[in-house]
Amino acid sequence: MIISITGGKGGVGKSTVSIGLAHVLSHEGKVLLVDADAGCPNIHIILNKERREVEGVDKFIPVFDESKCKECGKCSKACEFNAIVQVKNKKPFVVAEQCSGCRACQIVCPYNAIIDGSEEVGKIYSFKTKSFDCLTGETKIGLEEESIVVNALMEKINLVKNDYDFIIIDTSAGTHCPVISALNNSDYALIVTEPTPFGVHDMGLVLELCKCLGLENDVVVNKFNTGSLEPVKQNIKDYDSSIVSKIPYSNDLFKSYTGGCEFDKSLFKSLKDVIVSK
Amino acid sequence: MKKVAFVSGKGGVGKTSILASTLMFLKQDFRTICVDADVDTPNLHLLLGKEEELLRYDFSAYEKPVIDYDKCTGCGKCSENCNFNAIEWSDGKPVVNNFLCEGCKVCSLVCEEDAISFVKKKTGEVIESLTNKGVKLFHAELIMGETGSGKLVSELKKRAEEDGDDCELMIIDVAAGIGCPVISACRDVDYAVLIVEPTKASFNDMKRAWNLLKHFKAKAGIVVNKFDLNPDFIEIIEEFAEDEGIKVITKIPYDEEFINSLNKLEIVMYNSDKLKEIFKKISNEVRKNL
Repeated sequence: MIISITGGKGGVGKSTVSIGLAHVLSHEGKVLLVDADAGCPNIHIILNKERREVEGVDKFIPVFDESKCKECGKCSKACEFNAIVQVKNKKPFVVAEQCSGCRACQIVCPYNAIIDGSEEVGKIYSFKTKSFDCLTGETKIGLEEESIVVNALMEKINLVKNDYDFIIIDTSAGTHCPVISALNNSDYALIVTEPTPFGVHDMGLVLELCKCLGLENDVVVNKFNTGSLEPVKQNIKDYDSSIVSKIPYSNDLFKSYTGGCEFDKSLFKSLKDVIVSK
Repeated sequence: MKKVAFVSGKGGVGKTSILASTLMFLKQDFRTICVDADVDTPNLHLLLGKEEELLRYDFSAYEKPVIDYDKCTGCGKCSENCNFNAIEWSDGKPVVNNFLCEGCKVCSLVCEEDAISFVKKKTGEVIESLTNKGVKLFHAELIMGETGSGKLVSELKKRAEEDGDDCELMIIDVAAGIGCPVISACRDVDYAVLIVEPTKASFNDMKRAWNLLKHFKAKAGIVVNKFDLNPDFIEIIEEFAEDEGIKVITKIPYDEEFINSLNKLEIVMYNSDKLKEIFKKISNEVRKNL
């Protein structure tokens, strides 16, 4: 079973819940925890683990064969991402960060003057804890299309999914492409929220996103004792979703982020029962 | 117009709250306009309060393919050449998956039947609001599931610059992470307020955000939020700041008034004299650097 832990708002506790859930589910079967926040991966930092590089993530970059290029400008015109700059009477050049890898330039070039180049845009790493395995992705700083690395992670998951009983994906904040890529690859989502106006607002957006994607989901209220649950309940009413767990704010959990102490796994027991029952 | 961004890398460290309180001082010195560049999950309008909506219009980040099934022969070239796996098959005919389509138009380039045309796809709405605090705010609603958040952020900044042409200062609330909406937000900023919590995770993310800002040659200052929850960490942050030539502007103590104010959607600066002085200090530092 592949479970995404998401939430929209940053800092609500996605990584915390992902790690806690990975610990408790490890008693029920083999677990793979995937850090799909490729812009700012944190799980290896919270768990204080060294990562081992598995592979680089490359993207296609056009390379111009200057002996064949006739400076016709067709490549630049065909590029929808403004990644090829063509100044009159000069050879075109690539703005690598903006290239999506679509190869439109290569398709339209009448002189076969564009050859395959590649650029490493990120890496995939792995590490293990005593209880579960982990995969993490990390983008090269400046990469616009974070989903290239997240998609590569999803491909890795598909290759190994039969080796695991549970795969937990910790998504990034937001509701844009890298989050959609992870949710699209999941069977179920846990939407983590906090009882603040921002948390509830963003939870509403993610409930809507999961509905659009047809993804079964439920809600976890983290730091539930710091505010009222009423707005959360109001927002969920219109969706096929329920509050399945309430986790209290705990200074110890915060401290565990600083390497101060171990996670209190009993906080996640009810979540384990929810997942196992599915 | 000078541009100042509030950035963190890690989400939930207090960007929006700290921005709102600092704004209350900055607007006393500069004619200011705000941009909420967290277009996926915008929150700033909740805190600043919408007094009046001045403008709202549809935004399209790109065009999406439309397949003419009368012309389509099901040859499969569109699907084979799509780099984003965005063309799926149903009953022997190609179907575009709009969630995955990036709008590159390669499908039409390879289609030999001229069966693919394009329509502008609405990807979001740009909104200009007058807030309860007397400052105009440009924010957006991204259509659920749509891409192009980076382009939407660029549009917000462009409109804010055009419509706020009597303004001297643009304050930008940046999304978490360092992906395309963050890159678009930070592209041409003059100064960034880097917000960090005293945890390894937040510090790591802040360093990545700073590396991005360095690429854009922006100046920056650091604000350490909830610093007293792990005071030993401050030394690490200060050492980093010194190595990078960035100032640690101030350290904000953990204060329950932050959460109390946030829950009431009030700006914390008004509810705490102690915190008020801190935000004045941040505002002074921003002003010094413009």
